[in-house]
Amino acid sequence: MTGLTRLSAFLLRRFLGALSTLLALSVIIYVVFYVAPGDVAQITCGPRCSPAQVQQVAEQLRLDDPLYVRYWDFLQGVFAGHDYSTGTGVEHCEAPCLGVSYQSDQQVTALIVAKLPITASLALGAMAMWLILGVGTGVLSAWRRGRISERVLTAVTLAGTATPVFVIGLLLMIVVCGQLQWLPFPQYTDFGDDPAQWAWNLLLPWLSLALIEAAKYARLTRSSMLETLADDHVRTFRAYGVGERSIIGKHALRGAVAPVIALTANDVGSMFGGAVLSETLFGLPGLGRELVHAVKVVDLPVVVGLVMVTGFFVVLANAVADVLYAVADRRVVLS
Amino acid sequence: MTIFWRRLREQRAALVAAAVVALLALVALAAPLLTVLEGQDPTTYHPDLIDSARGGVPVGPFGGISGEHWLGVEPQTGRDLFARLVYGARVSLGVALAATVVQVAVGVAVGIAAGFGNRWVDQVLSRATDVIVALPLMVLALALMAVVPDGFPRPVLVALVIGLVAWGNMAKIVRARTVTLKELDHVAAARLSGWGPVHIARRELLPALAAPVITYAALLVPTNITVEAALSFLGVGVKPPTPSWGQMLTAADVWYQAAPQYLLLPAGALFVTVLALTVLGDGVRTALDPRAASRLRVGTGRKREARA
Repeated sequence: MTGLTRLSAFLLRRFLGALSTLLALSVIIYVVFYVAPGDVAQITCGPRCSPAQVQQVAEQLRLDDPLYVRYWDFLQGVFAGHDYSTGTGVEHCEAPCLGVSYQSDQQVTALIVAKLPITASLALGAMAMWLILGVGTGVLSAWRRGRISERVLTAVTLAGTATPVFVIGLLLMIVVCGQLQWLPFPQYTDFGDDPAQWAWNLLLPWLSLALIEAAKYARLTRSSMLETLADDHVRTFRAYGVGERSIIGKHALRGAVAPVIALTANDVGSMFGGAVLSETLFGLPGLGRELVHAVKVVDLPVVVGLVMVTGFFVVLANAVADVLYAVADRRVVLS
Repeated sequence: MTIFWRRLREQRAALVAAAVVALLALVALAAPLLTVLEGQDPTTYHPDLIDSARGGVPVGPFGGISGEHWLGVEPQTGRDLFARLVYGARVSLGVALAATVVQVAVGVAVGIAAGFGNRWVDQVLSRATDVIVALPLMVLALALMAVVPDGFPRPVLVALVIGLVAWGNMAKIVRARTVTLKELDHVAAARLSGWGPVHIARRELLPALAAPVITYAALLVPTNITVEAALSFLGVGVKPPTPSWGQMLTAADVWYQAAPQYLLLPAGALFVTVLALTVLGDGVRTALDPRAASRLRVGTGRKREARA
């Protein structure tokens, strides 16, 4: 096989793998949430529903049908759209249909599409910052290994991993926005409206998330680089007289690329499903805050939809990372 | 076992962390005693100690610190802060430990079943594990809070939800080890002599799995503490009147000027607890990992660990 067909075979295999994981994911989520203890119609509809509404929900969910029929229905909604009765008439929910909120009568897909830009802005901005900060710190501490400055960096990153994001965010918000007034209290401005204001208003959430995440990346970068530095081929480079700067910057850093890409994919993927804590703390109305709200008012279709979408983003991000890495390093495809 | 203790003792940071953890556990266990000593309890309101005209700010300097209320009182309710903090330690450590027990039980059971069962069992269990690992812990734990019945005692519920959501990595580690162990002679001999799978798992697999399971469990505890605090911070975890550090932080930003300790004490307690448990977990891993000594020495120029 030529390299190119091998690559496309790999891509196809990866795509099918991702698809089957997504299917398994949807089955498990569906079963977990709709075989919940108690009256499913009552739980789905929420505590504020009248008996008549509960009856209507029970009919809509067709609770008399077996679970696999209902799941099949849900899948059909995702791939082909779905018609449902609103009590007064029939409304069409276009594919990918994730159901309808029983609290606000909104379609879950529309709700998610509306909130996604906010969460995406938060996740992508923070990612850029934590990659620069984390990988930079990791390289620095691998380079200064064994010296005082490395000890200090290691201690700082350890402290970073031990701090919950809502603690550092809370403290930063009080000091930087409240006391010093260097930055505005975070809020969301649409990127299309005013890019500068968008970035300025999100700077503090980005910084809080990045500080916590960067600690993890610094530790990962450092340990991957130290592992490579212990390899025989690095010893050979040294014997040939390759300078320390080149060994650290070119050869050792290469060993950190794969784990950093893998971790980034996972983190960004899960953050796209909602940075629950930072969105709540900073009052950004993204997917995470929507989830907290939906959980509090027991809006099951929204909860299930958000969990499914989160899983989708994680699987997607992991697939993208694998492909990126395969394209960058052809040896992966061979193995 | 003695080797383990010696190797743990040789790490100074892990020793300090162990001392801090022991102290925290002691505080949590002795919470009723400590509050009796202070003469307060965590749930009594003290309306006379807060200034309702100013929105419920504690009366007196430094958030109402006095001989009777060692760390002041909570804004708005006047509940004793010291009592809530030490009882919060109980909730925090108790929930995290209980969740870890659930994670270990589920993870080990699923991992052994997948590694030791036939191809279909392995396929189904491994796929389920992949899915659980793929879903972010916070999102799934939070979502599950929507479907559980209200009557359940909240701390038990939080521990169960965290435990039932985050066992994926444990199962993966156990499965990988079991697959390797299965090929070893002593396990093959046990199978040939007609032992049942449960018997083999208990007598031949579990002892060999102890080291990786303990290592990973030690690292799970601090994560569980953070998740409990996060859920309570979001208002879906442990609910008042039961005190929890995460829950205290929910309203703390409003009061930081009048009663800064209301923010700083639970934040500091969380930080110290998670840090100490993380360092201790790292120490346990180093002590249990036969290759750790050589790996630690690599390129760091440190000689102390080399002897271990």
